[in-house]
Amino acid sequence: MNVKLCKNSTDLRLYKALRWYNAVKFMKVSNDRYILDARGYACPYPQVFTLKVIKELKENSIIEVLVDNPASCDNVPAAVRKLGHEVLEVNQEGNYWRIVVRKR
Amino acid sequence: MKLLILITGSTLDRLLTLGTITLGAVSMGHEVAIYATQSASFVFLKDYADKIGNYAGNSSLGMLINGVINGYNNAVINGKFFKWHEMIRQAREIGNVKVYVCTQPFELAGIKVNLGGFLDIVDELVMIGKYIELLEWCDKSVSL
Repeated sequence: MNVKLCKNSTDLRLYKALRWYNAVKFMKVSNDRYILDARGYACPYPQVFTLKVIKELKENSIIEVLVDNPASCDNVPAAVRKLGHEVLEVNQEGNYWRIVVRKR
Repeated sequence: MKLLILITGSTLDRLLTLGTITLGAVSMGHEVAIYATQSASFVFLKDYADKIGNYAGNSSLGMLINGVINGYNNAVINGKFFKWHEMIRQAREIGNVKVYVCTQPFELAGIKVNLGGFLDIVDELVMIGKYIELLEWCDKSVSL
């Protein structure tokens, strides 16, 4: 698993949350900002990864989710909104989308 | 929401749908109960769970269906997708998922079974009374 682990319990919980998925890339890019690269995964995994990780984040943390199938581009924002989180941006960048979410 | 999924078939298309709905539902915080009966009871046997490769569909769709099967097999090999029973195992890790396997098909076939012969994702071997109980428990029910 390509995970940048930090020495705090939040990141260890995140690592544990994604341990099933050996190839998924999850990185902490700065304080309270994370990138989850779910490109290459079919439904329902981008949604599952996102919701698994977001559950472990602190309130107001930002997670950028990268997806490369159009269905996830709709499903992921809909699922996080349904759970009360805030979708800040959905941007297409070449052949993938970047969905930026703030945990509420 | 409490979701009851009744599955009666044993083809890969149904099992992938089962895994997908279950994972999707628990990731959203819903509870899921799976009731497997008829040939679906057999797919939860340890010796058969990995042997399911038949994807049902009209023969005129053969090329498209083969594309799905090949894509699925490659994705599983590359760790980008997971076998149907692994999807249910993942869902159990995320949330509340119970799996009930109906023993009627085994009784009709004259086969003695016990829980040890099944995948460890199976919670109980049951009969129709459990299904009725689950119907009373659930908010929504779907059948595959």
